Amino acid sequence: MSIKHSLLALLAQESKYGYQLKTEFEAATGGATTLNIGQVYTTLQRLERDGLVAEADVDDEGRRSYLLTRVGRVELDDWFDAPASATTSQRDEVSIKVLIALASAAADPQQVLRSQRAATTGSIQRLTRQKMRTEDLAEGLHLDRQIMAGEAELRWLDLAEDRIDHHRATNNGTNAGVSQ
Amino acid sequence: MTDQKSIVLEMRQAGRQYVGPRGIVSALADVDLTVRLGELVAVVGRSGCGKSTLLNLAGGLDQPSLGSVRVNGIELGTLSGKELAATRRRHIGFVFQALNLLPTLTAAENVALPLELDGATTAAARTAALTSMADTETAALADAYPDELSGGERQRVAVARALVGDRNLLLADEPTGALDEATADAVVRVIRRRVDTGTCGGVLVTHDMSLAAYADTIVRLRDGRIDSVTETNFTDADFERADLFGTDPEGTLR
Repeated sequence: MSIKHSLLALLAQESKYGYQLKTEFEAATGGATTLNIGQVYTTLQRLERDGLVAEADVDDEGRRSYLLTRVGRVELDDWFDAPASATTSQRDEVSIKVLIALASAAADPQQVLRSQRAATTGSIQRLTRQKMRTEDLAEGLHLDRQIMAGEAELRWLDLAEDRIDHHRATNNGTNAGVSQ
Repeated sequence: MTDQKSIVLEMRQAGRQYVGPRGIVSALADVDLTVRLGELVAVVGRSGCGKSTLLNLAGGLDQPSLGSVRVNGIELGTLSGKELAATRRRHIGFVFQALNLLPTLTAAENVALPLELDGATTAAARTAALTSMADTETAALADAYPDELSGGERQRVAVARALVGDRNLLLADEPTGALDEATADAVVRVIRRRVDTGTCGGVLVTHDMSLAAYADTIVRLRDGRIDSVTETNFTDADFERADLFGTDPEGTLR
């Protein structure tokens, strides 16, 4: 699931507290995804245990802030570089990845869009080739369904590319990150 | 199939510029594209991205301002209008969204027409027409008139005409734009099978990714340039590995 990686991305630039991460994750995903604060703390503990983040500071009220480690950076880059796949999540991994790239400046969102587009296009080609090989109506319909899901994803990728370009053009070429 | 002889279309750094009121406008730039026999290339992109310009250059309907466009080894950029027309007639077939067939001729007469214009006898042209129609599953429609055919049938006849005789470069510009999805799918399948015989190569311009996906290579244009190229070369083993519904081995879409 991408919460782990989203938190890593949000910790890439500066150290943050758990509650701050919850707020920024929700803002980054346009409020479409809400996080339980307990879930954030559990995830942070696990990330710390695995050496992907390290404690940066404890404030007067005992709240801990965390920062990405070098190992965490490698893990994060791998996530951004790998096109979203089936095995990961029920949530919309592709859009979360783009939105988090946009919000965190931890990766170039256009690059994420490009690599996802290449992967999705390849999948649609493969499914289409498979469709030509089948005589079976049910299998053909199942393949059509998957192809159309891929098409919808490509349409969104194209739209996102245009919107991000437009946003950058109208913001003097500065990073298109959402306001924090 | 990697020798020079199998190359049907070769565009090298091809570009088209126009002189506008405010200076030079580039409609297409730096296009490198190779189509071999047995190969189908799809060109996708938003309207105004240069798809039509690319197809016009490939088909000799327009000539490049920069770079080179060769069809079966013939450089189109330096030909005279007359030579260009002759090259088009002998090597290249077009299929457009609509109005491909003359309404006063039967399907077979439409398919035979390019050969007759090129000097073939009526009998020889008809024989070649029927052969080409068999390849697009339209032989049974030979004596029907266009208005007696469905939209999908008309487009399949148009594909037969585009590739009649020795013509081996198919250029299709949104050939299914006026058709419903199932019919459009069937028409592109016919194109794919025709290309798979290895006797021609094709370029399919479409905005529809489910149709572009029939191609071996998908070229995405953006602002008059090639933005990305997706090539797939699936082997039988790729499909043997997939189980009945495990149709997406990399799992990208599930």
